[in-house]
Amino acid sequence: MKFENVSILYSVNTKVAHHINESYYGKHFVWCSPVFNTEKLDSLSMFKKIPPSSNPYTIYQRLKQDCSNGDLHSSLITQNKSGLKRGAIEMLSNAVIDNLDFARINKIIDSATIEQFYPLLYLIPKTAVEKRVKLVDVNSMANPLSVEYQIEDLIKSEFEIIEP
Amino acid sequence: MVQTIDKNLDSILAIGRLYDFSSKKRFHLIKNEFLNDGIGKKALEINQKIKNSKGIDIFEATSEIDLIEYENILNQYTSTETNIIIGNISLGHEYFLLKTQVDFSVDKLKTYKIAMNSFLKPLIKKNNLIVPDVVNACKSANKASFVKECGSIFVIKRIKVKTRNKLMLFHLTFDNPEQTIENNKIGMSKVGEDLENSPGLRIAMLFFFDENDYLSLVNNPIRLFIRALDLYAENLNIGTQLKKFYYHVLLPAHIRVDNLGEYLMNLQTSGLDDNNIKTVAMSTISEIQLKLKFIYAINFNKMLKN
Repeated sequence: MKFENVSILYSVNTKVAHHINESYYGKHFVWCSPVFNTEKLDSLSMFKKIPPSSNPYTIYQRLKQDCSNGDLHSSLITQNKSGLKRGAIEMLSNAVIDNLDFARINKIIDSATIEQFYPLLYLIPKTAVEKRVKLVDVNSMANPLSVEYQIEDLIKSEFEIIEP
Repeated sequence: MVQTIDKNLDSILAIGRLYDFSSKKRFHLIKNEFLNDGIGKKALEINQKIKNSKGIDIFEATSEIDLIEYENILNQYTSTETNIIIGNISLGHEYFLLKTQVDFSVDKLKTYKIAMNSFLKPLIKKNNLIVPDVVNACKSANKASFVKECGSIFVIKRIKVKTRNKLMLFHLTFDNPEQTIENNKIGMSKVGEDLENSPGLRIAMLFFFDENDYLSLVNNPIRLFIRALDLYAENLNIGTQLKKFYYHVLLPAHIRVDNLGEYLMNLQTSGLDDNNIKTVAMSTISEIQLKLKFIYAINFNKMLKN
C-alpha cells in the first residue's frame, strides 16, 4: 500500500488529551498512522516498518488494558501525561494559553483519574488533512524505513472518534 | 490570587526543554541537540538536581524505563513549579464541568420560554440594556454548551453596547428539573413544535465581558464561565474546603460566604442583603430529582466596576 492509496489515518489518544486539546487549544496535535494494525500487513508493505510503539492497534490495546487493570504506574499513561505537560509548556511559551490556563491544565493532568486515560481512536479522512499531514523527517529517525505522520492542527470536524 | 508567571517562566521552559530532549531520545530521533542557551543552563541545573536526588541523568539514560521515569519526575517538577509560581489554585469542580459539557443547539434555544431572576435587573440597567432585549439576546445565542449532570446551559452572545463589543454569558437552568432528565431530547430541534408547550428556562446568572479581552473564549461558554468565577465569585467555605463554587450530591449543607454569614445551601437564587442587594447574588441549581446541587456567589459590585 502506498500513501497515495490511503484514505483514512488512525490516531490513538486519551480522553484527557482530547479534552485538553479541545477545550484549551481548539486543535489537536496528533501522531497518526495510515494503517490501524501493522501486524496484519504483509512483510513487503512500506508501512510494515512502523514500530509497535507507534502502531495504533498496539497503543489502543495497551492503554485499554492498563486502564482496565487500574495500572497507575503504566508507562503509557506516564508518557501521555508528560506529552500533555510538554504540550502545555509549548502553548504557554507561544502565548496560546495564559498562566492561569497553564495551571489549570496541569491540575487537570495531575488530578485525572485512570478512566480519563482510556483510549480514543481517531479516524481521520485523509482528504480533509492531506496538505497538513507531515511525514516525520526520515533523516531524523533512527530507522529511516519507518513511516510516521503528524498533524499539528487537527480540528473537531476533521475526524471521528471511536470509543472503547 | 494569581501571580505573574513571566519572571519565572524560565523554569517552566527549562523543564519543557528536558521533556523535549527525553522524548526525542525515547523515540530514537537523531536530531537531538541540547541548546546551551540561558534556558538550557537552567535545564542543566534541574537535570543536576534530578541526578542528585533520583540518580537519573538525562544525558546518560539510555533505557526506555529510565527515560520514562525521568519524565515522571519532570511531571512532578512541573506541578511543583506551577504551584510555586501561580499558587495552588483550586480546580474544584471545574474539570467536572469541562469534561461533561456537550454542544447545545442554538436553534433549539430559540424555542424555549426564558425568564430572568429579578436581582439581575440592576446589572442589566447598568449596562444600558433592557430586560426583553437581554432575553432576546440569550435566545439568539452564538454558542451554547449543556452540562447534563447539573442541568445547566451556558450561553455566549456577542453584542455591541455603544461602541464596545461585549460578550454576554448566561447561566440558564430549567424551570422544571425533570426536563433535564430527558437528555436524549436536549438540543434536538422538533419540527412544528408548539411554543406554548415548550419548556421554560431561567437566567440564573449573567456576566459581561469586553470581547477584546476574551477573544480566545468566544466559542467556549464553560471556560468563559470559569473565568467569570475567577473574576467575580466570592469564596465559599464548605467545612474545611474553600471554593469558588460548589457541586454537591445528595446531602444538604450549610455554606459560609466570606464576610457575609452562613446560608443554607439549597437557598434559591436571590439577593442576600435587602439593604445592598447588589453585593452578592447566589445562584443554585437544586435539582431534587437529580439529587444534585450546585452553588456559587457572585460579587456584583466587583462586576459593575469592570
